[in-house]
Amino acid sequence: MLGLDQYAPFLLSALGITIVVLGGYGLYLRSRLSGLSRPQSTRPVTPPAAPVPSTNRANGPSTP
Amino acid sequence: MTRALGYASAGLLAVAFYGLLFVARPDRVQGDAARIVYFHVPMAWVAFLAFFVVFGASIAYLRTANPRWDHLGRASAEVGVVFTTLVLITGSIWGYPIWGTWWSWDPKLTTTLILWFMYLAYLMVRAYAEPPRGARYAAIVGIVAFVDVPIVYLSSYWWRTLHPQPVIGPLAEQQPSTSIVWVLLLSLLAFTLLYAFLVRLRVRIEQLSEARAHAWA
Repeated sequence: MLGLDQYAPFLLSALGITIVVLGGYGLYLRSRLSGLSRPQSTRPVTPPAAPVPSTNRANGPSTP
Repeated sequence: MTRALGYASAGLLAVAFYGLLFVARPDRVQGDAARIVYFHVPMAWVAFLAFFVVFGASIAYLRTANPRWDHLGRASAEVGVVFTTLVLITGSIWGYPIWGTWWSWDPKLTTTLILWFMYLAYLMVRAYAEPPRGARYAAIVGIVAFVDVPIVYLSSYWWRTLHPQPVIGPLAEQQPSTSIVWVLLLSLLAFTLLYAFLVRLRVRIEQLSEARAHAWA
């Protein structure tokens, strides 16, 4: 039976750190695995749009 | 299979934690601090097992060049480093109330720290070197680093050390009580199943990452 003596905080912190680290590592692996298991996108890559020639503002706005 | 391993290890760990908190008796001298041994020692054993698997997988990879062995070695090394980190932390937490210090340059502790650094080096080689060469270099590191495992285990016999002698196994000096053995063995089984579960997850990640990299190439 847990005595809860003066050493109990050391025991509980060691146990807590162990559970948090192992649990966290397990969850990290699960999330990486689920990210990789998702089907890859098969959408074709569209070529970048041709650059639109900019109006030469140095000459001022064109007037009709 | 992986899911079953996960549930089995979680269930057994819960039973083992219950056992170490409520079934095992507190030590006459160390009180509740002695209960840390019930998960510190099994985690150390599992770390040794993990590095033994890295050793075997490294030899197999150098002989066959089959990437399956490389995946297994890398997965086992990573899980082994996580367990060794926890061994160092829980040992330090046990040491403070019992020895009066968080850390001592004791042979057992020092060789364990060296072990941790060597497998960290393994993971760094594996992460930063180019794939075919990186796997080969890491395999060599995985074989060389394993030399430290028996040194860690036998260090308390070879040198004068503060670290307690093994409480169970062929080199144990005195036989512990039945309840101590049962809780310790249950904890050992639970952590071994957890190791198998984590390695399976990690190997699957390696396989999927490689398949995705090939698909993009």
